[in-house]
Amino acid sequence: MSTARQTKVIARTEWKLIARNKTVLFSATLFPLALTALYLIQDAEGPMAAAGLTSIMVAIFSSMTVYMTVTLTAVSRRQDLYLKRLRSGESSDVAIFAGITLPTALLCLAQMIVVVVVLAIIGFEVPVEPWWIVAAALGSIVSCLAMGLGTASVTPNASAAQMTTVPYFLFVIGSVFATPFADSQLMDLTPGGAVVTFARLAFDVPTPGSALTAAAGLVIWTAVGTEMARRFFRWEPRS
Amino acid sequence: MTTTPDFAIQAHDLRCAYGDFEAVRGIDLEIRSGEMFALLGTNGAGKTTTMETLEGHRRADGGTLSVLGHDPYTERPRVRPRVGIMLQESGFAGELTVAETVDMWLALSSSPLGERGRRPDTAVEAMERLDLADRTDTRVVQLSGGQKRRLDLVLATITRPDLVFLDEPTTGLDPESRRRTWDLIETLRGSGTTIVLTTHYLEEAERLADRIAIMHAGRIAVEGTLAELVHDRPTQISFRRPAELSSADIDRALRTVVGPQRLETVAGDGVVLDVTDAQQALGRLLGWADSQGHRLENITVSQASLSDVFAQIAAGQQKQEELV
Repeated sequence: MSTARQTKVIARTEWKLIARNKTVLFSATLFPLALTALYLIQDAEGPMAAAGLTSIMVAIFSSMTVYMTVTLTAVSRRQDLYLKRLRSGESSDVAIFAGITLPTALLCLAQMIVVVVVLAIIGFEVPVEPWWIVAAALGSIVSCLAMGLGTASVTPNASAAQMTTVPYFLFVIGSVFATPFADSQLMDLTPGGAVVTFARLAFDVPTPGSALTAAAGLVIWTAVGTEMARRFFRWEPRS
Repeated sequence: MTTTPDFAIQAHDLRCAYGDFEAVRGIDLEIRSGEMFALLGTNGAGKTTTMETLEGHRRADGGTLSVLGHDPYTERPRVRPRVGIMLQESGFAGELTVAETVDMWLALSSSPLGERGRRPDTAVEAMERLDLADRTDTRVVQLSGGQKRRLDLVLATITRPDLVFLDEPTTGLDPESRRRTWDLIETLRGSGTTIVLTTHYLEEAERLADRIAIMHAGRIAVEGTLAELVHDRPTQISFRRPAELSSADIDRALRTVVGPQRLETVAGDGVVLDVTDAQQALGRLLGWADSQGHRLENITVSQASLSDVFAQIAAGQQKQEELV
């Protein structure tokens, strides 16, 4: 059986589990609405403001919907021995990882699309080169997925996840807000800085960063998370 | 190392360690295709580590291992489609129903039985036999511990694998559920499935297993059929000491009559005698009692059991611990 088919089955099941969790559904719906409201009430205008708000949207969605959820999902599924159950069957490790994370990534993309569509309808600033926003969104989601699995590797249980997710979450959000003040290409190597650079490129705002270094930044964080998961991830709780 | 068709599992000098601690210290195993093999052990003997290694959940640190002709760890994709695993502890997505759990498991299987939109007869039959048929729409989180164990067994067996690992399949089950589980396991064996079983219930191993291995301190202490394991073990003759004889009297008399065999007095007037030739010993004992005019009350003869073998191995462990 192919890894793709295994991934599809596990992801479909994971989606079912998300859909049955009212808290997750509620926050997943509320998030885009709250962020859209933030766009509406701010009084700044022009490309600079649009780039800033877009960076915040991508960073918040990917760090909260993807990073924190993936960490918590992986840890709690491990605690419930569900991961060991999946691993006792035919599924490959890649299919299990992809299957439990894919629905969260898709949910995050859906949230971003909702915000973008709403903003387009109300006549918000249109990006000159929108593909950079797509790059920011996909790069940020992928790096947050990897870091989520990496963090889950060093998180012993679901309660501990509330603490272990804080540093990287603050790092992503903090670097988004710090980048406009730092004015340095080095900020591209932070997950938030990379997103800001892509957003600025999208709205044709001058930036000390470049697409290459921003992409390198997100690749680095993806590699860090992947390597942590590869080295330290356990399929069952420590006895 | 590849298995010959006659053997589902072959291990030679298998070793597994946790850091400096070697949990499995060089075991040899040959499990024939179609047989039911029980792996028993004292606490910390290394049987769970052995099982996990055979299942491919962990890599062996030494020796050679072949499961259905392949290394179960490095060649997992080749082995798993032919294997069913019932874990020691159930792990499920609690918010799925029983039917959804079974369907997901089938969808993840490459078995033709897992064709979409059709729950195979094996699943329906197993759920009926294990009393889960009326629970198909119940969420797993709402099942009792025993029901989860039974669901676990259903998942391990629905694709009709060639080899099934059952890790303490009846722990936590009531007697009726245990009987149903035994029936299903016996049906599996009847269909030619190779079964590797671990259990803390010795009567389960006695009843079900073709061959039994008892692990102790990371090694296999004894291995064979039940008859082979108890063959050299003494039979016990017990009776109540006649009131007119003291313990010393009977000790002296029995050493003369029966021979220098182990003799112990229990619960005041109880006498327990370990003998290797029960027929000869019993004949002499009764002859002596008749000739001396003694009446032996509550006389019983019990053949050595797996429990005796196990107790002897466990006693060895206790002695070792005391020495340490």
